[in-house]
Amino acid sequence: MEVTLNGKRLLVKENRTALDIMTENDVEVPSLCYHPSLGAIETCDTCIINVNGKLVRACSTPIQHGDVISTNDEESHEAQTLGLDRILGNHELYCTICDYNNGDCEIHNTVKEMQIKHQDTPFESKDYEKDRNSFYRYDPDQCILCGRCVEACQDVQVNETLTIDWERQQPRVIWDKDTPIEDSSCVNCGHCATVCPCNAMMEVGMEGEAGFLTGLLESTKRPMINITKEVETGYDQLMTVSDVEASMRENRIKKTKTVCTYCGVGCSFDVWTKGRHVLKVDPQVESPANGISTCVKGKFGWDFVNSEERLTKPLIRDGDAFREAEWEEALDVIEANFKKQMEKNGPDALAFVSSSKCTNEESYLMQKLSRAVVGTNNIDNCSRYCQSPATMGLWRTVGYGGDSGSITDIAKAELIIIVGSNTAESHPVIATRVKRAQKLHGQKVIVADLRKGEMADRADLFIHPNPGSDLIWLSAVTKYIIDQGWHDEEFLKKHVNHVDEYMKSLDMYTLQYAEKTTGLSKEELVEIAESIHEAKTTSVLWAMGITQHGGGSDTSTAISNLLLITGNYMKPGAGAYPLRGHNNVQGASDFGSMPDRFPGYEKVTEKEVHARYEKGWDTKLPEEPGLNNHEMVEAIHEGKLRSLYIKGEEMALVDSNANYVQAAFEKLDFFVVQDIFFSKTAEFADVVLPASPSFEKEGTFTNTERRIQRLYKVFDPLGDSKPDWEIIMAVANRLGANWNYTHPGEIMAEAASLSPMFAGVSYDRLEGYDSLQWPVAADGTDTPLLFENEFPFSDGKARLFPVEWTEPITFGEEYDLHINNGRILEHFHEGNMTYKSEGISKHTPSVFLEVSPELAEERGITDGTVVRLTSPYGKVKVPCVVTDRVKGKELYLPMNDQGTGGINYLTSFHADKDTDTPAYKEANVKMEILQPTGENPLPRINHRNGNPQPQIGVKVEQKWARKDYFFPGDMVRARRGRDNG
Amino acid sequence: MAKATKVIHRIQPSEETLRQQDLQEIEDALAENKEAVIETLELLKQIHGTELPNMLKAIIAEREEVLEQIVTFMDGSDITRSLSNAMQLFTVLGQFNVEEMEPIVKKLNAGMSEVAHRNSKGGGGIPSLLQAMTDPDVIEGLNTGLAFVKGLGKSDTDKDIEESAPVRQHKNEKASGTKWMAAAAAGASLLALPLLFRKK
Repeated sequence: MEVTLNGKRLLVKENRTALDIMTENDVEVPSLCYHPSLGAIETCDTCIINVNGKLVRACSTPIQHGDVISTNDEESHEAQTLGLDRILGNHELYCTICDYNNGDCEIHNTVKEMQIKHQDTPFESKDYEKDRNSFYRYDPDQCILCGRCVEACQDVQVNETLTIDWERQQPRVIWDKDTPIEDSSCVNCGHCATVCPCNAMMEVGMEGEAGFLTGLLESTKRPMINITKEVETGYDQLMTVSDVEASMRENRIKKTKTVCTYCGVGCSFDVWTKGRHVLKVDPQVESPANGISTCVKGKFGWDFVNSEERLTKPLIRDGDAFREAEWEEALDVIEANFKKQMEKNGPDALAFVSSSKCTNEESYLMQKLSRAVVGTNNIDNCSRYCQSPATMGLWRTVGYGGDSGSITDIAKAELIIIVGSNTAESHPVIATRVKRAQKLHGQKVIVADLRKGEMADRADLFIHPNPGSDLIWLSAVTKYIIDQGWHDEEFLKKHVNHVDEYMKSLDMYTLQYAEKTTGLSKEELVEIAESIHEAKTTSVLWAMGITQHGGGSDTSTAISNLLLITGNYMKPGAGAYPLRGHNNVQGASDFGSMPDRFPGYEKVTEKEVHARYEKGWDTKLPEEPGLNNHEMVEAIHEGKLRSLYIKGEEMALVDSNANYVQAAFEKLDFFVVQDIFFSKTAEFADVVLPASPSFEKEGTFTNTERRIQRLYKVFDPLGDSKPDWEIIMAVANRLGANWNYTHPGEIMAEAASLSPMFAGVSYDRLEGYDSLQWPVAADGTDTPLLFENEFPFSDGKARLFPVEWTEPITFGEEYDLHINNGRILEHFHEGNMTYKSEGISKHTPSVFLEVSPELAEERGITDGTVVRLTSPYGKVKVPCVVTDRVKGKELYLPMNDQGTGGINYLTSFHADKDTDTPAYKEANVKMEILQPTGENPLPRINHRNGNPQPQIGVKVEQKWARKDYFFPGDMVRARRGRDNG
Repeated sequence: MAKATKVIHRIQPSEETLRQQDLQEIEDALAENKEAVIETLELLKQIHGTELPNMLKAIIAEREEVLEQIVTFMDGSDITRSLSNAMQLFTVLGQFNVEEMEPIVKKLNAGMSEVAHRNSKGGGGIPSLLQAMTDPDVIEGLNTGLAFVKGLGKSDTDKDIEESAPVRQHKNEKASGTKWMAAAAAGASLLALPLLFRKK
């Protein structure tokens, strides 16, 4: 369509606001409340322009064909200035001594651009105290009430804590029903501080640290502000002086792009540092997976990198103790012992475990060390503990073991089904996309879980099947859909094999059978089937609630079967989304740390592939698949496996039946552990090597969307610690490898040259925030939507794969309580990183056992009661929290404990029959009370005790309804009318 | 065959080793920056013997109190006003159009000289005034005076005056004549101030 912008005729796309068109054509007006990731908020009234003769807000005015837009006429300018002037009445300009004066303060920049020399509305204090918690602080006197923070909290994070109280004489942002930040439902995701245009909502890491003049004592600050304002009479001077100071800051504040090292969402952001002090984490609009979003761990959970508990020197066992040593000596010991073992017992007496916390390049090198240098396929990584069954289910049916699309597809889906995933706590940023789509765009959400977590609470339909019975209800829903003739016949005909055989296999999954075995009602099952039928696109999100069972691969397969039957592949907004747990659990497997697969999931038994790697690495390679890490533990007990090299894995606690695993470690001849902390696993080692976390190295991570992203080095390695790739290379070279990589980019280039899946991956194509979603063709074309024209099988067709239910294992009657386990939002796994954060530990100091109100009443349990849980495999001691998140005789124990509360002292070694992933979710216990009363393990200030206040946006209508409000456009017209009349 | 242990014997380098390491680092740094070090030493030699080092030491040691006293004193005082006035005067000076002033200054000089000349004569009255009205120099002088008076009468929102002000929305145009002064002042004050602040 055609429009006129400042006298120029332009062709523009449809469905644009005036501000969109102006931005696309480099025409600027102030727009303080507008943020590209939040949309129009309409509170600041600074973007007023003239459209067809009317003064309107550019941010919210849709433009039609033929519209005439003027942004620089006198009336518009006067209205914009009026809007800005009122803002300045809410914000004191003391830029030079402000921590936010870093060149990106939007108020500062607007005053400068508008060449404002003075203000008519005097600044007045709002007479509210600053409020703060351990992570951020709110200064009402600096708050311009733009509402970005509220919009982000209500409609992006959808935690619904923040509102602006427009009713009071002097409006301000409030938490819950006007409680201090500390007492509120705030989850400290940091969205508010990220989007704030000024210093009102700011990370405490910045306070008094960012500027040269900002570390003033409070008593000095006020006179200093007065002097600044007196001396710097016009804003010209103020702006110039503060700009000079801001430029000086660039000399010492370093901004480095990195990728989060917690969960599999793959948030990327700039880290601002001064020396080794983290000032703040600053996610960017262009961050491909997360945009402006983060959770508390990614935004604030970085204290661990500077922890005094970091390993900074190699440790060598000396009898019953370790001693610190230099690298050369540690490598000598490793060389001697590995060589001895290889000579005496052969290469298969050694095994290697990669880390899902480490980079793709490090996974690649570890498997190369194992295969090409030592000569064994005994190499695995921790996806064995979580997502291997999901990968198996997808390999069987659609050929690739990865998410069907991107996180944006999850937001786009008409129907989301979440099965066995505590998304809001385990993948917080993905959860925000679902919550927002449901709240604002009518996405329907169905949740199947044992526990009523946040997603279940918000769901349109929440079902609670019996533990381990998901395969049955999924199959029954599929059968019902077929019986109704709702399956996608055209899709099946064109793209899917084994249809008849599969449909026949469903015969037994009647609604009656499902009702009986799953505990769900017929109505619930029919409603799910109808919802899928009615939605144009369905995406299924699943995680450990599905995979960590005896039949985890089969249930994952059943999910994919359901999606195939309903044609929910090959289109945006639809498909399978196994949510990957760690930052690089996807990449660890992608780059070959698997006993039966080379990088890119090519089988070690395939001749052509085997030959390619032998040629590429110029050595003979083992032909038989090796041991996975679950099998490794058994092989140690059997005496076949004598030496183990684990990097970045707390296997002593995270593998199931921890007592059994630890007993195995005691039997090893020689054990190398490489970690950033002295872990439980390290206690059993012969040599402990100090590694560097993500902040101290370069490399790439691959997130749940198959997205490969680069991380850059924020700090130098602490003490004598080294990046893992350097350590692996040093070990390999001691064994005669003669590797000479000088940068991880060279490792990636080698991997790309050998693995067709990554053919086009290069560091040049991953500069800054650029990313690639595999498979990546040699010309660099990547694949955001995994299946577009065909499935990666020889005939291009997917395969329906009949599966049968594996009944969960049973325990004796005395073990009368089912124990579920998983993550919580604020701690990551056993907690060796997050407990180092003072702020996080203050809000959530320890692990706790969730007990249902029914069970609590029956057993006389209250918040703080300490109980002992006993299973046939071990016992734990934990304090209780009574909550209706769990039901009846089902307990929930988060996995965040390194001591006596570790869940895996209770779990068995029983595992998924197809992948050996431990059946962590199949455990029963008996409970005894040790102390009837005690301190509540969840302090008052924990966000779970808050009172969220849901609303849509900032409710600007309430602002407009205030008696003291006037629209600057009307004011300008009134003035001019008066002058002319 | 290893039982779990948490015991770690740390390497405790002796005081002497640590000292040797430190000294080595200092020696390396000195060698790498030989010229700068020598020059700095010469400067220090000059300063040595004056009270300057003692004053600086005292100010830095007591920086928080010193700064608080200074800013509390300055806040609202005449000093602040002087600085403010100085800044404003600079601003005003910056607004003079010196090129256009040149002819006026010449005319002022000529006027002065006429006055000096006249003072020596004395006398005259209404007739001589009327006679003077026919003098072309007097007419030109009066016209110039009237033009100046007209200029004085213009309101500061008039277009002619605004023309010299920067044009809106032209981001790159840095029109303010005081920018360089503000920048210089900023540079100077910023360089001086950190001495007084806590190092973070």
